[in-house]
Amino acid sequence: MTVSFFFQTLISGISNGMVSYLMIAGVSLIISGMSMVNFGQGAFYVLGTYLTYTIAAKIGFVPSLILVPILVAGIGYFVEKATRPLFGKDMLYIMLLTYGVAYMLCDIIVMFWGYSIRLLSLPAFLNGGVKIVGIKFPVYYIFEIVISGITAFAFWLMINKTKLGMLTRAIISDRPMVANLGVNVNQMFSVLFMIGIGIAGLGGVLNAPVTGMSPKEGLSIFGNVMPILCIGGLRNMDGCLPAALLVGLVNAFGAVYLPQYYNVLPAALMVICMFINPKGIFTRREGR
Amino acid sequence: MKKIISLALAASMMASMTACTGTVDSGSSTTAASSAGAPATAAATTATTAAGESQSTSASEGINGKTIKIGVLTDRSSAAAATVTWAEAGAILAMEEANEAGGLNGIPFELVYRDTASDSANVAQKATELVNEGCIAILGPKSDGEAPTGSTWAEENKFPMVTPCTMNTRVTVENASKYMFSCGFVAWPIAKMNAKYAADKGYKSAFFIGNDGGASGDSRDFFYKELGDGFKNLGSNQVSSNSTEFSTIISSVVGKNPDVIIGAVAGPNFVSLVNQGTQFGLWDNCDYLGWYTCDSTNTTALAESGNYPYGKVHGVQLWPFWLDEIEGNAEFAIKYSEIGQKYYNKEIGPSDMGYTWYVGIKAITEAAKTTAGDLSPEAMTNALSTVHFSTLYGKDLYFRDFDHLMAHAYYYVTAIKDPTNKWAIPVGDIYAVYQGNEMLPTKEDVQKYAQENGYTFTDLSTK
Repeated sequence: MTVSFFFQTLISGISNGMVSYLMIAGVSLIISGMSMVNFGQGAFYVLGTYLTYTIAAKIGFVPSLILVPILVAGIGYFVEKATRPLFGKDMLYIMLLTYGVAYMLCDIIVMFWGYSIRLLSLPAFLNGGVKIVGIKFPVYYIFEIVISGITAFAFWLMINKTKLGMLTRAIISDRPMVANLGVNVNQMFSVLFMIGIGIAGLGGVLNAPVTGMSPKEGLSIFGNVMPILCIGGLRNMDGCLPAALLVGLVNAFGAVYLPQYYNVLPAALMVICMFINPKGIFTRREGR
Repeated sequence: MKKIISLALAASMMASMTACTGTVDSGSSTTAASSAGAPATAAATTATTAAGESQSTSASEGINGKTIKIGVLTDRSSAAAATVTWAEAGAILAMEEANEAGGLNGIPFELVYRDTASDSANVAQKATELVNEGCIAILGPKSDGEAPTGSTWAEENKFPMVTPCTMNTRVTVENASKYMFSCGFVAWPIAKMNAKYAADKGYKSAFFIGNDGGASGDSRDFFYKELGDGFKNLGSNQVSSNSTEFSTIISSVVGKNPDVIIGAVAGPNFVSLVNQGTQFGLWDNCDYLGWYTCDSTNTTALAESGNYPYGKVHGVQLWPFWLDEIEGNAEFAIKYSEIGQKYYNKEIGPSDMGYTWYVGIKAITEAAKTTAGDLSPEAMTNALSTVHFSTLYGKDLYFRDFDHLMAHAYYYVTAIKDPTNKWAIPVGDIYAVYQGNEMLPTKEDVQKYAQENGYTFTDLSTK
């Protein structure tokens, strides 16, 4: 492997991981903060992509990066309200409800956009490639890395440096105690859920010019990023980014060295990591 | 608030169920037998199962309200469902043509759908439901991943099935059945044609990217077999048919610098691979060999986004829609497009996938005309074994006796921008036209392949 090829593989792995991060960060936030698994996350991601096809045509791609996640988060608000009666009950109910929401969203996408494969044209400034150590790399993928990086940083800032983040961490530790302090936990849940869904929407926007998305992918795409969630730790928000980068890099270098096993690499990595620490390899073991 | 949300969710669910059932796109009723030619017709109706699946697509009713039902195993639920409009439109067109010609003794044909979601685990159940609906034969399954299961089911149930998927040796050699017929592409001749093109152009190395269906493996293995040891195999990536993220694969391929990519992907796979390849500059240095080359299901989004690598994609095409010299070609494309508008409220362009579904239904309806009224599974199977018919693009189409593959006319083309600007999608610059039997494997080829790989060759003509 030449140095330039190594760097290209490295960057494509980072890019792959960063995009996956946008998909999984919201899921992790919702699991950690609200103790619920949102199986509808993939559908919101695809909804973000389809909304972008329509909205970007009217207002442009860059404004869509802001507007679409807000719209998707707004829809998330109503879904969170629908899950309220199920809080405190068996987790299975919420999983089923969110899965049902995913089905409905996918069919609603079909109703509005029809069965077809769509792609968004890239704005001129994001088209083309740049030479990195002698190899052409698409500008758009660099852009994806930057946006995902900013999102990851903002996410970290929110969790660790804001009152909302402090309360979120407190809820994760002891929810009844936070409620007893007079904090409106339900309102916080709404906000957390909307942020989680909005991040998926942002991932969908970034995806629109890259993959030929199908409406029904909302039902399957969640499965593709599940290994990241398990590797990072189901209830460990801080583990998402390193796990996503690890899987991205394994995908990239696996495509070079083990192409015939490319499909199974993330799942195999997940199994290995879960043997090492079932709570995620980026989660501190208890007692340390 | 809870009540309002509950009501909103219930309404959304009902709307969602509607999308699953009678409509494919936006509220139009699914496939219907055309009233033309049918002595007594009625308004379209659609029944719905509790599961929300289209139980019986709408149909004009013929003599005494009867119709002749043809089952269709479709896919409206997986990522590959993105192509379903084009596929089903082909089936509807063939049915409408048959009904305009009077159906079968005045009784119109009707299509009855079941959704397998391209999952082989659903094939047996859905096919059995179609039998219980009274269908005379089944078009399907849609994907080559489901075809071996379909063939096994057809053999066990002794019920005729015509699949439009890309046929491969996992069915014709490993799971051969006298009840299974193939009206679609066949991977083996595709590999031969791609190999011939690669040899003619002096390519020396290739990298394979395909999905996880049986056709994918065949299109790779026979390609390299044709070209021999002197041709460099730089590696192979088989992805899930739901995969749309190819950046890491493409990045690895760029570093290996192959002369060509052997592609065995379609639908969202194809669009994503080609688009991301364009973004990475992959097509600056290598070409793509495959099939569904100018198919609008694959090419529309790429052409609209300006990312189709014209002149770099080569492969096999069944429907040469751009050739004005074929009499009736333009009218056929218009009729097909009108089906898209009428039933799916959607603009659709010519599609090989639609054409193979068209041929499949045409084969079934033509076969039904030769049974002297006996539409039993055995009679229909025998009729399909001997049926001969023509389309605009293939004269005397039939299923070969020993493997039930259809001998299509194959157009090997390079996808180029339409110089006349009539088509917004790529058209084909024809490199060669092959008659099916020139490229399909002979009985001896198949026997040899089976022997080399430890399989028992089943000669369907003797069953």
